[in-house]
Amino acid sequence: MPKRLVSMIAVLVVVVAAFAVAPHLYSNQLLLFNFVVYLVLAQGLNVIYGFTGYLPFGYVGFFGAGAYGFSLAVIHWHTSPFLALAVGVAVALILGVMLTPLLRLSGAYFAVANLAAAQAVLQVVSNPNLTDFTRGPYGISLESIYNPRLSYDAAVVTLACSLAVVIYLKSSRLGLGLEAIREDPISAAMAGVNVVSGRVIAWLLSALIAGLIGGIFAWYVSVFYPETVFDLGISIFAIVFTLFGGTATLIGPILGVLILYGIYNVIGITAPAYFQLIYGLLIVLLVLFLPNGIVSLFNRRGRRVP
Amino acid sequence: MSRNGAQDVPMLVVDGLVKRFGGFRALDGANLTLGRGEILGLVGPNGSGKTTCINVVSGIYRPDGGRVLLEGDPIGGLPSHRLVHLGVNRTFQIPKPFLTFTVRQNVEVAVAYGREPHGDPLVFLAFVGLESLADREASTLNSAQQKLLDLARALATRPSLLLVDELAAGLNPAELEAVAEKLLSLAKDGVSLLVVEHLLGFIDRIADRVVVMNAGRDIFHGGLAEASQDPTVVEVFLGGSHGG
Repeated sequence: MPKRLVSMIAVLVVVVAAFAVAPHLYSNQLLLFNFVVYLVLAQGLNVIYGFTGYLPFGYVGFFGAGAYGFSLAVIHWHTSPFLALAVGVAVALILGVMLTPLLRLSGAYFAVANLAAAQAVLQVVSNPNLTDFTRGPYGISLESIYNPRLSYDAAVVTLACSLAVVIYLKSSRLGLGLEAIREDPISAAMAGVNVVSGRVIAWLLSALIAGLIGGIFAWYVSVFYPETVFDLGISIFAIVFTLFGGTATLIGPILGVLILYGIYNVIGITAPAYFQLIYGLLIVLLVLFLPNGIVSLFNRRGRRVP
Repeated sequence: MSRNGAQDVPMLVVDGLVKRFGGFRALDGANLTLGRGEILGLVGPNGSGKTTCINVVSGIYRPDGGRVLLEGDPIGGLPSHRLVHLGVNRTFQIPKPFLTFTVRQNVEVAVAYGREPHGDPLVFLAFVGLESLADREASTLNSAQQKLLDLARALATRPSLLLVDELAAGLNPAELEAVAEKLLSLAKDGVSLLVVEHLLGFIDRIADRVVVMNAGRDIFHGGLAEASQDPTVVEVFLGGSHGG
């Protein structure tokens, strides 16, 4: 096995083991759960943004679609949580398929159109006229299946899967083709890469990851409002964490979440008044001096951080 | 490449090709025929439709009329990656490497997705003389090296028809001669080449025949020397008399 692959698998094992064990050592399980959610979302975003260059500002739409697909399956069909997760993923994938025409746009146009699409889904879900079906603006309550232990474990398994997806992309023909599309779609096509299907695969893969963790989020918190799971702040956090760490790498998004979400929780509690100032400065400095993320600090000629 | 059997069917036929951009007809009924293992020069003033012709044949633009035949089969409007798998590839006038990839990775993509996905990228880099730069990032190459990388990437997909868009521009005389020899050796191996070029000396060195284009149409087919005697060609290149 190549050394690079071994080191990536080692990273997966360490991160997953740490979050599997952590609840036994640290009592604030909700905080740990949120870390896992952002680790998964950052890798899902990495799949579409890091590997193909599409920046989906409305990425949270898939997260919310998964959360609502999960919840409505439980409420209306009384399914088991695991079957409901499959429904959540299916709903996120259907939304992904509906939005594939957006891939014809590029750059900021794609980002804005995707943002609008996520807002449109929120408006539909929270429409009072649909209260009988979606519970409208009154939100979801799922006490009957509340199980923080099991849903936390499901999130950790999802984390392992999302890391495995990125490891696969970093070491496969598919990932190489996707990165070629990101660099130059015309040259990629002339290298024999099917640009359209490559983009759609990456898009649906990232939708699947966000839909799955969205469903697990609904299961874990079990009481939430539409604005909770369609909060644009979730998109922005996932994007900032991924960019901060370094896109198209395995380690970058992990470092981004651990450092930035860590800082967020520390200064958010100790010095909330300065939080936005510190956070904003950090992001400005990063964009100016480290546009390729903190992993680029460790890259040396011929040797790249996985 | 067998030269028997299908030898009567040309590698490439462009028949009455039309490409419009709004009201402008960049190609207005262009024709050309390219045999197996032949090198055909495509020349003409700026804006005469040479690059547009290559862009249509390589699937970057869809034709608005006319036919493109590859070994007798219509290929007009097929997406580029399908054409690559049918044996068509090209270089770009302004080279388009994958800038953050290493030189080797640039060719690796084309090997992995090309017609024979088990080659060694270094073979193609050695052919164009870039093997010593294999681990450099493509963005650090100069423009002549990036053009050669374009060529290596195109060759890595094992094309039988290679469209070369102004490869020679910007090369020094020694590099020009080296590139000319490489293209000639490809043709000897049975690859057909359509070469767009402004350097007529380079065309004269490698091409048996030229097609001269003007305003989206072919106005001359034949040897370069005869082209320079042809009154229409002379008028297009040097301008006609104005009633004086």
